[in-house]
Amino acid sequence: MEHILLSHGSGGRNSQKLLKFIYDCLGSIVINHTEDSGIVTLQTDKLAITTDSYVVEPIFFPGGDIGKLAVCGTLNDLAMVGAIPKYITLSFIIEENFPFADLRKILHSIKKETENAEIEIIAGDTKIVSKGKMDKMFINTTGYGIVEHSLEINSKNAQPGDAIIVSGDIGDHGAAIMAYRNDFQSDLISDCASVVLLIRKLLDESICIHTLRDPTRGGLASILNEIVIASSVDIELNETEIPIKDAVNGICDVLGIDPLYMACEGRAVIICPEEEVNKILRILKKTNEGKNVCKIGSVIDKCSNPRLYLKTFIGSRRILPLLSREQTPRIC
Amino acid sequence: MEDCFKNNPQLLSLLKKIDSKFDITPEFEDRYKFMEICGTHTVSILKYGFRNYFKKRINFLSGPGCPVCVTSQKDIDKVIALVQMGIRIVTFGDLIKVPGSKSSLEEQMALGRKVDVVYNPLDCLKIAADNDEEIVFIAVGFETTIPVTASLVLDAERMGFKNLSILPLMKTIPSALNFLLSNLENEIDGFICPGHVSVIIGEQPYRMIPEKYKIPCVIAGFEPVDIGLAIESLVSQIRKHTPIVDNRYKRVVKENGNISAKRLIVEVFEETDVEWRGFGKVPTSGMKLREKFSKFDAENKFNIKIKKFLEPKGCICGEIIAGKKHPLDCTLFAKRCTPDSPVGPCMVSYEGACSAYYKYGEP
Repeated sequence: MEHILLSHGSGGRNSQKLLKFIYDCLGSIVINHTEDSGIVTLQTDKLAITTDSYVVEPIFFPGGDIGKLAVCGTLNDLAMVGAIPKYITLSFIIEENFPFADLRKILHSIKKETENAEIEIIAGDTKIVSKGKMDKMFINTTGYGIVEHSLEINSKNAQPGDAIIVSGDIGDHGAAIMAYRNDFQSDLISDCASVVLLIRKLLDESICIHTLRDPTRGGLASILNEIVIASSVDIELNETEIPIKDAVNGICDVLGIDPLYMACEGRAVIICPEEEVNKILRILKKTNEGKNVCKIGSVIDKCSNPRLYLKTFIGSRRILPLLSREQTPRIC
Repeated sequence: MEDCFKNNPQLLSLLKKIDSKFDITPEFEDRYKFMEICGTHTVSILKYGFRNYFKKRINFLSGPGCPVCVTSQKDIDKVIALVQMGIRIVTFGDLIKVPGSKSSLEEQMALGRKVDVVYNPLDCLKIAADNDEEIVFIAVGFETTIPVTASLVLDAERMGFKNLSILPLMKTIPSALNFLLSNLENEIDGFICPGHVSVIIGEQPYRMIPEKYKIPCVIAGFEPVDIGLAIESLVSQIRKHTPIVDNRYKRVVKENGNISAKRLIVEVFEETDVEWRGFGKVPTSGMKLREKFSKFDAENKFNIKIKKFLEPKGCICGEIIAGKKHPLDCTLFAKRCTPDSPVGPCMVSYEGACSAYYKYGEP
């Protein structure tokens, strides 16, 4: 049994074998696996729920794989409302002929990330699709977390005078994937990681946070554009302060892609009152994931036609618009 | 290395130096008109805020340096015709969204036609090896990509591929500049010559510009410091009345260019007259396969004939490419024509002037 067959999705003996394989790889983090529904008891009156589907080409990339991406992505979505993650569901859609060896590697990544985050898998599913009808593997997740803080953390809450902070270098994930797809020689690895602990540390120190977002698809500029609209405020970023690795700038320049729109998978954008900035920088700089934390800009004013601005290297100002369509590599 | 051309404290002193040259003097009445030939320069000028910074002193005009933008409507229709014949085409990503007379590659892909997007033309070799069907590479591009397309043809010949051909839509910059200068309506005060193209062709092909037309030229890179140096050079040349071809991109552009790349081009291709959007037919500005490689010419192989083609109504891309008009002069700009729903090619391509003005619009 080296590859997944259609019969692994038939509900018969092979389906049982596939499930056993998954449970063996994941171990005790799966709870209630013999029933159609998982039952849990939560001591909270505020529950955060998020769902997402993960599709990535290639499924193994420098710095991670689709399994790590799915768990970290879900954890980060929970962290962005300040929730403490508790449970996750996992639903796999797998292409016929997918190697079991690859499935094992992906399950091990999932196990490692769920164990690190001290969460459990409460439900799951597998579906097998005929060869050529999909691309290798898709994972759908739902995450559940409890909210213990009393802050109002949301995209509508960015206030004039607030600071914009990013927890680390931007664009690493997008650039690493682009480099890999284009066969570029590069040491760049994806930033794919959970930011749960970073946010937890800030909340434990009673830091006042107004808005939290993870700049995944569409990157930093896209999520800030969403915040600008939701909060009806102008935001200005300072180009000289935005942390971008030389390798990311290099890949983006070669391909004609803007790093401000490149996906990150392990970063948080924090919007908070200016007086909290020094505390946040001090706390996050001590962590591995947050050691490159920077203040990159400020919320300017309330505005009926709000815009995201960039103060460029030369001190000039321009708009950072919402992205139109996919970014494609340039020719010349 | 990267950072020293982007986020450099010297950049601000460079700008001050340029500012001081602009100290209002009686002779300074109109804004200088600088044409950046390459679309990537248009992007840098807008992206780093140079247009806004110099808006009272310099009028930046985009030139014919976006390969997709200068491809004629008829040629775009040839590409669509090929894919409609069921042929698998391989192309650079920018071409996907360009509207032809009736359809675009993007629409054809949604219908299930076979289109592969590559960054490197040599990827065609693997696609041709993996598939029995006919593969056509859509060879748009300037001197920057022509040598790689030449390598593709040589490799295809050496490896004996029968199912691989190219649609030759390549164009060369010096012939276009010659044409532009001899038909110029607006006076241009300075040219920012393309960085990547110059890596291949060197400094020599631009020399006729200062010599014959007395217009200053600067070869420049694309980082903020490069753009600053280019502007400083052009302003100095104008002030001193000493037009030359000033190479400010010496870290990659050599006086004679890349000799082996130029040899590759000549080995595989020869000059031919081709149609440019905005210019019409420009003598010796295109590349066709030499006789011994003619079997790789998709146009002959598949007998593509385009009888009627429609230019997009109201679109002024042609005039923008020729430096006669500005994206903001177009009545369709940001209204009917946006990157989400482009009417003309300049709104599609990363290097297109309209796309750059839309994306990096100023406050």
